[in-house]
Amino acid sequence: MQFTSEPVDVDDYHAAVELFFERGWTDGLAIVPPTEDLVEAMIRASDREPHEEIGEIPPVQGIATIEKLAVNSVMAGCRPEYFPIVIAAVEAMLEPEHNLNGVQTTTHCCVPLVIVNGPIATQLKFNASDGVFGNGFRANGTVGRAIRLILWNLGGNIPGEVDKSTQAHPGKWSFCVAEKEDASPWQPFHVERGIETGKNAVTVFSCEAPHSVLCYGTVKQMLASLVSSLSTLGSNNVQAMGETLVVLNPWQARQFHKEGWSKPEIRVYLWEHARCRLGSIREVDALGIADQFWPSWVEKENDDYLVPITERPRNIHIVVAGGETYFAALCPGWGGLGGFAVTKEIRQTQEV
Amino acid sequence: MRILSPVGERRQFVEKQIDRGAQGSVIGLVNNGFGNEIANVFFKRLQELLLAKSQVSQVSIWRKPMFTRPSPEHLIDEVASVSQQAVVGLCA
Repeated sequence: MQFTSEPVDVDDYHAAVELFFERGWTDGLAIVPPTEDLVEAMIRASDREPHEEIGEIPPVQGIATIEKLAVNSVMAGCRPEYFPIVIAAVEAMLEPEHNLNGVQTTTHCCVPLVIVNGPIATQLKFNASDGVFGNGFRANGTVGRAIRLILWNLGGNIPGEVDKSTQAHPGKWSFCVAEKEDASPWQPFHVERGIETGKNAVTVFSCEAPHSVLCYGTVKQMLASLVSSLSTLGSNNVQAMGETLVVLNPWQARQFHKEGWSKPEIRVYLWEHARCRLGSIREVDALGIADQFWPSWVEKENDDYLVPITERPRNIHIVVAGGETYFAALCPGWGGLGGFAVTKEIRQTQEV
Repeated sequence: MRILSPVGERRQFVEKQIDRGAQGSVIGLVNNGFGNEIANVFFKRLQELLLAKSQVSQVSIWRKPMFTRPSPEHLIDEVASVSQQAVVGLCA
């Protein structure tokens, strides 16, 4: 296979790792050296040509060829069969509605979260259960890190340089989960978003780190807890709408389902109740950005008007994942500024 | 051991050779679009100073429709069609 990437000869593994640190080619962790044979195996696991361009990664605009994505995926420790997922996630991030240029440079802490759906999630052993946002699973960890290294090496997302994130969050190391479809009573997330049942897909949504919500008991108790946690004045959603993510664990999903609640009904309830008084938002909106994101039906002269956290219920995403305990998680988005969820089917050529 | 660079190539752009003198030229100012009203005051004042202290013929101000997104192509074309030089700025 012919490569276009600059080749570098080194003595051994340790020399390779040190070289990557010296050149600023890694994110602060050691890497797997991207040798030609490993990169070739990665590319062969896709149905793509090495020189095919997926796009340019902003803001530095490094050209995302299949070869470059493969090099970074090897570095992250991905197995070749993970590579189609990485490609689909990059394609999703590059859709205009995701506004990757803004995500890469904002002062907000949002990070692209990769959500894997379909049979591939189980086949490749993605974690969708206990500790779903945490460590311990190669598939989640390395796919998330491949995305990070691509954003680093092709997009120049280096803190203090083009990455102006004020505090960032630990998802910048790796941020990838799967939905626990086999324990969910509802349609899988990707199917809700237009992908055929049985197909594999990734959704990319740029969001904050998961916020824990103690969410247990009756449906009424769980909804009250979620409503309160969603509608806090410091949230970008409250000040600038956009999209947000609610992660219910399978037990919670079953409780809702048993009492006859569908996902769309939960979304509508949260949209109707998770609101803040307009006057209270104005009091804290020192940057003067809220007005830019409120649709025309918001009564802007009425301080007592209750402003919802998103423009419409469907902008509240619900995914089922995690262990079966008392907790849910919220991942607020960046607001109306971008980072919106984009779903892409995963193109596979090999059985996994 | 032979390894491959992970860094992406970038497209090469050819910079146009232009006369950077301000005299008689039209200057375009593109407000990043951040919500704070201070930005409007800042750009207005910059416009006044350029007109008063430089020999520019005109200073026009545009505003990006969304401060977190790059300028849309139609805006870039519009600015380029009337300005000899353009400055994109943020005021927060």
